Amino acid sequence: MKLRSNTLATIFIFCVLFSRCTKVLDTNIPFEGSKISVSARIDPAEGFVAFVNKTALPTGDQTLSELTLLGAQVILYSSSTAFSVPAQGDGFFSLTDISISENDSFRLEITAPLLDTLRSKWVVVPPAIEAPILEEIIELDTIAPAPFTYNKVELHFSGIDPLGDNKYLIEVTHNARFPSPILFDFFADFDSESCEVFNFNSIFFPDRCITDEAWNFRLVPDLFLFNFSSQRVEFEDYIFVVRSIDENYFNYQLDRLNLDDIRGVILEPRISTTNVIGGEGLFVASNSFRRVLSRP
Amino acid sequence: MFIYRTVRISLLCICLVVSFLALPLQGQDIRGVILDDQTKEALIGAYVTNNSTGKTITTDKFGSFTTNASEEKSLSLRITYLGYGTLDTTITSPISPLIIGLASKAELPTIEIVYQDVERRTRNALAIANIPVALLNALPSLAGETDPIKSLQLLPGIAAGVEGTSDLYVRGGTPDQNLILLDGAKIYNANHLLGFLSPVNPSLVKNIKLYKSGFPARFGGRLSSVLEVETEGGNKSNWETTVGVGLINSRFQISGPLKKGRSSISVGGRTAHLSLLNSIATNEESFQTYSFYDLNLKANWQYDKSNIALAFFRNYDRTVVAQNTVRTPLQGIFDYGNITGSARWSYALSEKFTLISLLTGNYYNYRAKEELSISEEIVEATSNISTIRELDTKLLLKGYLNNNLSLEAGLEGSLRRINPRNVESTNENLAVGFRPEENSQDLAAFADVTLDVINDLALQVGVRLQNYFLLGSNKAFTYLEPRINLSYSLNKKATLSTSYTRMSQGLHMISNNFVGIPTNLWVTANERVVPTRGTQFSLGGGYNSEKFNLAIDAYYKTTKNVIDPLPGVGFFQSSTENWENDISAGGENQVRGVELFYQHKGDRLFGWFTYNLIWNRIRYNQINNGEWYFRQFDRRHDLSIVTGYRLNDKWQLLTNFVLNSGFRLTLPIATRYDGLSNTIIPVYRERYNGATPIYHRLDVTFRREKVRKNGRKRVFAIGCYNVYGRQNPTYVLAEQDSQSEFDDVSISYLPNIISNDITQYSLFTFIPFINYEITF
Repeated sequence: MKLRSNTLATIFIFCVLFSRCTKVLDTNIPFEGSKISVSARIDPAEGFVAFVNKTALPTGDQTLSELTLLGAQVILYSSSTAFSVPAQGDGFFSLTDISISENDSFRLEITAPLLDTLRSKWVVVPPAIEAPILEEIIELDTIAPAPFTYNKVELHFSGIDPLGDNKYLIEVTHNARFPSPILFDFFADFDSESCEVFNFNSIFFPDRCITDEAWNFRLVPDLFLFNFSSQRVEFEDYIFVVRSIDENYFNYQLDRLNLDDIRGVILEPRISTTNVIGGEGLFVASNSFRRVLSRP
Repeated sequence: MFIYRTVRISLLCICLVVSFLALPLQGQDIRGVILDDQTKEALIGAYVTNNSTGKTITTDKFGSFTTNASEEKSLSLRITYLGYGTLDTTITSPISPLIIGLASKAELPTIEIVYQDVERRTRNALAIANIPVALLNALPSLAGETDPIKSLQLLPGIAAGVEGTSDLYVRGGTPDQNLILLDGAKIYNANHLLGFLSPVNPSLVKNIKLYKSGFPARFGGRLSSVLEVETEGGNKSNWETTVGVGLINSRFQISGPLKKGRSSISVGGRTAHLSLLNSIATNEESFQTYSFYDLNLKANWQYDKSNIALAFFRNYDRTVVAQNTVRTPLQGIFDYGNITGSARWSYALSEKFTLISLLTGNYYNYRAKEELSISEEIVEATSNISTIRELDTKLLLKGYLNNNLSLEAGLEGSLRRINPRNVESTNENLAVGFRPEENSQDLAAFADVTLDVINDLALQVGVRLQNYFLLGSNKAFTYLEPRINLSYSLNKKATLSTSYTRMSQGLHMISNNFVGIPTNLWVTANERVVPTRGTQFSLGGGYNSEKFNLAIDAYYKTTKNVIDPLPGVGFFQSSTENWENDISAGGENQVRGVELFYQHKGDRLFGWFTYNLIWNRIRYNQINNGEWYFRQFDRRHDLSIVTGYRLNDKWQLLTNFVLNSGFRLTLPIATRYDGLSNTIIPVYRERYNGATPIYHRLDVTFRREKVRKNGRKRVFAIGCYNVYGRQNPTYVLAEQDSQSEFDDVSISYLPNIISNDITQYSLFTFIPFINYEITF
């Protein structure tokens, strides 16, 4: 076979060097069948709340109604009593008129027709932050162009971290003035004082970040205006919820953190935090206080 | 008065008789040097066969060898070197040193993996890979960028990790378990372009040798392999320049004599021109740039009994990502690289003994910097920096006592300072999270003895006494590492061999990403996380004929005290000062495998076929309930077929076909919806419980090499990576999404449909390339 050099003078048009192609992965997915799924929390300030449904396939589309569990029953056990938790509809269960104090222990049991019974391990209500004081300084940020306006909110928090290995979660939401309270999550930037903190529309950190001095958190909400349907809604209040959380709750925040796109590419998935058997999910305990701050 | 002259060799095999004043030769040791006839550069790894005894030895890094005339009156030698003509010569007088020149062949050399030199004589054929660099550079590769180190992935027992990256997984070991030596100096995170290119300029690579088992005792500190890369020392006759242009980078080399025939210098470099990629990645809100370069400098001198070589290497990568949002203009800078230097001195103490001393230094660092701007002014800058500083020295005594007995012995020491993570910030509140500096030293004494027990049975016995000492904590670890290699020749063509090796590693690498981004953290073993120790046993055989080579090797490796980063914890995601809190330690790794290699030797059609079958499993107490599980790149089956066909005197067609099992993944076993936080959560229960589909691709290159009478060379290559555009997954993401509907009753958005996909992303499908290189 002869090749002549003048054939090489033919212009060779190059394709794009790197072309990214995507498709659904063709592999066997190890689905073990539907199980009871629970997200539950107990807190002295909030009582007990749980969201119960079924697990879904790891791939494909499913409507939430397909995951609804009919006939589910939730029993909350303290060290001395069993409470039947009433359903509130749409998978929510809650109980507020029980006595919950720090160091109290609770566990959970959920039954549903045709599914294995879900049982949780005992959870212990963590100690509260002692003598918490929350003050804010709000300034208008004039850098952002209209129609956006931003407030710089400096959250000054002081309190005493109890003895032991404690962990904390701070969530900041806002309350638009509707007949029913509406809570939205939004992104916030935090600067920490003494150590690295995680950031996922809340902040959570271990207690080695805390000293006896005041914490300083600067929060910058992303957006004040919401448009949906034909209504324009503008929120007016910040709601700060500061929780002392248990180890499982802390690890669950780390699991959620790794759902971020970039982390999901770079880092290997974490094995999901769970403290239940016979199903999936988590039952966590916290001890919180909250403060409503009006927007200037 | 003795007269000796350099011998010129034509392309044909010729016999040459050198006449000198007659002196008795029996029992005399002859020392010689093999050079390139044109450039006078020493040929590393040339084979010198003593035809009387049938024993073959290889030249060292200075091209030197020593052999013995035994009881013969004359010494008949056959000298071969891959890519050069063969010389048969007879020495009748003990002239020493003997200077012999070989002329290079124009056509692309085939590989000769099976050669019975003094190292291979005692080992299985597949234990050492010594491939002609010209062939490694010619093989088609990603975007046409010749990469001799990445081409090693086509050899038996060497697997690739993430597609396109240059990481080497040798017999199931991880990339951090490879000791990579560039002109004798260690390099860390050896890659460019986030792992997609190896750091060494292919134009400058002179010799590559990879040990997979049966490691000589002079090597230590790593578990899986030793990769020795030697760069060109320079043309000792004339000045020459090589320039090459490719799609991703351009390269150059200038070399020439400092003193003709005695000393030379070589300077080479490479730089990226990625503007095309940069323009693709730019939009109104963000832009990204990427640049890299590497620089090599080498000089050597030969005086009487001494050879001195100095080498310098620098590689550097930098990427900048900027976000031009209104609120938070943010710029991220990520850069990393090595600076290494080495000084080698070889001195012939006598005809039998050579002393080699080596001094090397390395500085490695990488940095991730974030700059926050307001009104175009940088208000805050924070850098995470990790560095390694190392100084190594080695003293080696080589003795060729007679044709049946040779030995090596020596000492080695390293001083190392690792700064795993240091945070520098203009915001003093952020200047935290550093990890304590680690100062350590390694000391080793080693010895190897190679002897022919009987005519057909060769044995190499070695031992290495390795000590790791962590300064500051006064904690030391000392290990005795035996190295035994045994080979039996069934006949002139067939051999059986076995080996037993123990190794240790005092450094750990923590890398929790599988994309290949070099955010790897090197740390020193300590009392909490002790050094890793490994044992390898192998058994195999080989058959080497004029028409083909066939080799098979079975091996079993165990490694203790392996570490893995905890899932979901990366270098920059950890808040702990102690890296020991971010890992699973005390792991146990077992690898069993079989390698099969077949090579066809032909004038027109040549190539090889390799097949690896491997089981690579690991267990930790904290993972998968302490059960064994298969590692991420446990590719059960791995097949490579490399073929070359000489179309005519100038043109060659080269193809690679690769077929292997997919890599392992951690897949969700279910999805659940958390109504309290309105989050869709994939549920992960078991590590590496799934795998990607079978991987396969075909690469094709048409290559033309033309050498003119004046020595000018033109190499032109055109081809395509992944010719049929197979969408092999580079990485996989589990993605969740939901569709919401506004609920008038609660006046809120409620999710209605949740969608889950496990999506594969393929980066490298049908990539044509073109390369042009000229030497003048």
